[in-house]
Amino acid sequence: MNKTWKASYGVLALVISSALNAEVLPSYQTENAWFTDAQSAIDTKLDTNNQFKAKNVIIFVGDGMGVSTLTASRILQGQMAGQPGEEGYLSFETFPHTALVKTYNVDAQTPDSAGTMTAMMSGLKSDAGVLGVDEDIVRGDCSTVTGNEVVTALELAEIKGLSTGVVSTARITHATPAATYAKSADRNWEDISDMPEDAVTGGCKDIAEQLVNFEANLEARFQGVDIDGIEVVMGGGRRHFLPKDATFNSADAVSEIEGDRTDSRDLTAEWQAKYSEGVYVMDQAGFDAIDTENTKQVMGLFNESHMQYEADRDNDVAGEPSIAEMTGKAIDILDNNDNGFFLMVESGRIDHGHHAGSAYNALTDAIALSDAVKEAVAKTDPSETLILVTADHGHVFTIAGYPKRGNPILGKVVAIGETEPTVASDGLPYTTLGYTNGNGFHDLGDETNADAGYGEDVNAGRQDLTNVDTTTSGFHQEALIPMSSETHSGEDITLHAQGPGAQLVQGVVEQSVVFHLIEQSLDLIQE
Amino acid sequence: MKLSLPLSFMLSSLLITLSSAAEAQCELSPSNLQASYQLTSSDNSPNLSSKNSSHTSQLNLWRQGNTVAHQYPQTDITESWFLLNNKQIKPTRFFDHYQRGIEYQPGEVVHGKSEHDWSYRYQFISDKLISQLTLSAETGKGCERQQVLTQTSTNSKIELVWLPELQLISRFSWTKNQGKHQTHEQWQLTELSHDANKITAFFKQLNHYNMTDYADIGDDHSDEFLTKMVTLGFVEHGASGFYDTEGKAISDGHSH
Ligand SMILES: [Zn+2]
Repeated sequence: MNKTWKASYGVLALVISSALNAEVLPSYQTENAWFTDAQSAIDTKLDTNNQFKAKNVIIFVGDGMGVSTLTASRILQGQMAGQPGEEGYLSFETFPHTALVKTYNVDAQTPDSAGTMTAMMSGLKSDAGVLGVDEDIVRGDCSTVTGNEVVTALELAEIKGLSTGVVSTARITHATPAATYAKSADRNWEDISDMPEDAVTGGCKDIAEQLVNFEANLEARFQGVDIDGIEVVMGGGRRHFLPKDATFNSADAVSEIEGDRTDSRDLTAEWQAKYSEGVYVMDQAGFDAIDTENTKQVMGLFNESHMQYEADRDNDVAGEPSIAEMTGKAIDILDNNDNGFFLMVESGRIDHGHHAGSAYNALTDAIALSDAVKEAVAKTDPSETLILVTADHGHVFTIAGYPKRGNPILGKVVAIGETEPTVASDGLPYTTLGYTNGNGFHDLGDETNADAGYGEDVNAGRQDLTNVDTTTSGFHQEALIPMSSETHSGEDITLHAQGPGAQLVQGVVEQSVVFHLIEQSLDLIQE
Repeated sequence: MKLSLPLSFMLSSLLITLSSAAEAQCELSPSNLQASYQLTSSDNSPNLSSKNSSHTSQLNLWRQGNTVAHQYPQTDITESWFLLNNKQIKPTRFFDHYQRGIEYQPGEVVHGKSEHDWSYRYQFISDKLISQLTLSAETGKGCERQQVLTQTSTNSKIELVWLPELQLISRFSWTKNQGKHQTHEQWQLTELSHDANKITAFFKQLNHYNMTDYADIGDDHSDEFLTKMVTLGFVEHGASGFYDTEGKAISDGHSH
């Protein structure tokens, strides 16, 4: 098939060359590195794969990783390696297939992670704030759940006998990971103490409980189905699994009482009782000790709440694995199954960095995701594994002004040929990166401002950055519209793909197409 | 123990309850107490256009184990800090009127500095500042032992009456002169309690608030409290403690 395509291209090329000889182009053009690189990129695309069926699917979701985040991250990545930056790629940006994805929810122009991940995992768009249910749900109303639950790709993969994994740097009960396994009228029902009384009495179950009872719940929904449970669960959010009782605190608890559960249940113990061959770990040492060839199930809950930002990971009390380490370990366990596997990996804190108005944290976490994808590519065979990398939504994050090539991406705009920052019409310098809304400028590089409290008033609008080093980790970019937190954005995000079925990733698509791409490659639904 | 008694009376009555053998030591724990302060700040300006002003407010200090809380009745806000075994500090802010709270991660640098100086939160006054003051008098024994520590410079005078056994300010006064403009700030301990039941009840009540991670605020646009939280008002300037002798964070936010 490849050859046929090449042959027809060859015919086409001949036709063109009879009209316009290649020698018409000057050699300084045809030998220019930009020109030859671009030509070889086309040649590579001609070798397009035509396999549609995969053994394994891995989907990476960068929460809040919009297009501007990709561009800024790739520049930062290059600059940290001593390059100008613009010319590089995040690992997955070299994947051969890309599409633009429309992210809106059924009831929202600008979406949230719950509705978007439900679309990606179940193949249909739903409302903002709800998980694993269709648009007939009423958010927060437990009584509307029954009859509106939808089936997810992870559930179908389990039923098909594949191994499955859910990995996140956020709490494992947070919207994105939860949409792979839970059905909930509200993304906030992470444990029973988060639920209103009528939801508890109405029989709705909290998200943590649904994760631990995933196997039994799925078997109850489908008669005759016998699954073996999710093989790999790794992330944060231990508080939702432990009773509100200090005697259950883990070694690296950061609160006086780590657990939040008001029903006295220790779900980590319940999980261990269900999976006697499984391993429960909560720190780097436990993670490192996992024997991936002989461990059937792993539950790793590495933080009381979200795991650390990549930039803060060294601060963790008991140590936490990176997203790349978790990805590698997950694949090593999942690939023990000859039937194949389905793995979802979320980089959950790109979103949090942006919400806080900290481009530094968002970009460094996006680079960490790129490293995790690289790890997945290295550990799998591209002829049998479809790898998808996408976001759920963007942020109101911009790359603006006319900075010269190689200008520090976290810096102030310095124009072509200049060495001093350009000033705006108010006479003040400005940064390349900025936010349309949010908390605004904070310079936390200077900790002698002892009383500058977190939760300080919103500081939106223009600031005099003349004497501020905007490239430090503590710098928060300016924002136009004052809000307690920067918001998501409504423009399209990208989907990058390689492996069998990746060639279907093209054009502008609804987010629910992601599920169908996974389903097509794995044949999750038998006709 | 009644709460509204003057401190000197309370301390002497506490001493009576102690055995004579233990008279020289203090058997009360600094890590389990509630202390109330009256804060008075006055501003005497010679400038006719701005009148002299005086302002008083209330502040309660609560300690239980490795947790300390500052309760501001005027704003219905309570801030608390938990000291981890590895010396990291986890801050939490409670909005008492709404029975809601925002949790921050230890060492998390979001919208402010990350917390490093436990003594500053535990005592309102950092060990560093105390160490820079001069001991001018020491009286009393056991829990009642008190030190008068001072520091005088050309345009500022600090006087601290310190209860070392309880790691507690009894009185703090700070006077600053800028030409003819004088500002004065005073903290006076008005009540002290070691009632374990009351202290437990206070922290237990905070534990029942509906909590949100700071990191999660941005995703919850359906929650009116979170979207408006930022305008609810935070701790009053001048009521959050003292930091160092340069006067930087010692009283307010004016220095930055
Ligand atoms: Zn978000």
